Amino acid sequence: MSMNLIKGLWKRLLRPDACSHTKKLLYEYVEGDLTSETSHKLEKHLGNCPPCLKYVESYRHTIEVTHHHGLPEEPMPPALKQKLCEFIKQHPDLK
Amino acid sequence: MLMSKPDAQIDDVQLVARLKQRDKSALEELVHVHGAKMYGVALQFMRNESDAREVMQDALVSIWNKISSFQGKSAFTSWIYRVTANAGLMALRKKKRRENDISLDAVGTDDDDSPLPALQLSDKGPLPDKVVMTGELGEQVRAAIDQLPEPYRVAVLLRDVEELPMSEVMQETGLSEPALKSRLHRARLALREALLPYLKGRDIQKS
Repeated sequence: MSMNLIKGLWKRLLRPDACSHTKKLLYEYVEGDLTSETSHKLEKHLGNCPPCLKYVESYRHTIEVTHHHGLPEEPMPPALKQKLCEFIKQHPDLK
Repeated sequence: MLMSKPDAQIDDVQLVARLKQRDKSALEELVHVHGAKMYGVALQFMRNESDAREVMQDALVSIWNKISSFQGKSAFTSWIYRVTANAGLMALRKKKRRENDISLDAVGTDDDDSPLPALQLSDKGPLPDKVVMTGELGEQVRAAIDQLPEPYRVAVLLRDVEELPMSEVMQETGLSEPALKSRLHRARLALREALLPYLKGRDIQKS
């Protein structure tokens, strides 16, 4: 997102539709891509807007749980384990 | 005071040393020790056992061929999962070329602000605290990721699950930075929507 677009969005944050623009800055805010000034203004809005604050919290939490729980551990079917061991023994690239 | 390394880490150090010495039995041991997680990663990319097996085979060949480049700067487990994820991505590309019937844009363009279709999870029953305690949250997270359309799933797996740097994900996926950001953001919003009953601040207004 270009800086001009972000500045424009921020100006609109001062208007009553600030909440919808908070959502548009959400990705950049969470990733730390906003300038400190814009970030500070956004945080000021979050301090006065519990629904927006909760929205941001739930977005952050989504990223956290995705990271912590997204890497699965699946028990391998015994036949698959056996096939992989045979593959290791026979495959020409594994010398 | 020197901290001793956990047993698993010591085992991995030995495993790496044996692989570098071209000890093929170490590769079989790797399947026994780390196979379940490699299989989990492969399944998340491919969604079926047969394709996941091919991904694991490709990953094993890569591990064997590239082990000399592993310098121990990251955990060995992280490295093998990354190799497996990379094999999964390559397999998806091959499959796409072969089938030629899945478009990366099939679910909408990355400039489109509309949310992805709602993901249908199996059961939203248990209360969040209980879910966390029983580990069921993990199942719901994985189910939600699994239901993302492929381009979005790949972006989330590489960036949010594997935590690869943006530059590396851009390189792996061939996406521009704005396209990757847009894809990630839309995937996160879809996951958030699906996982809302389990998240902090779940009582908030719908997006």
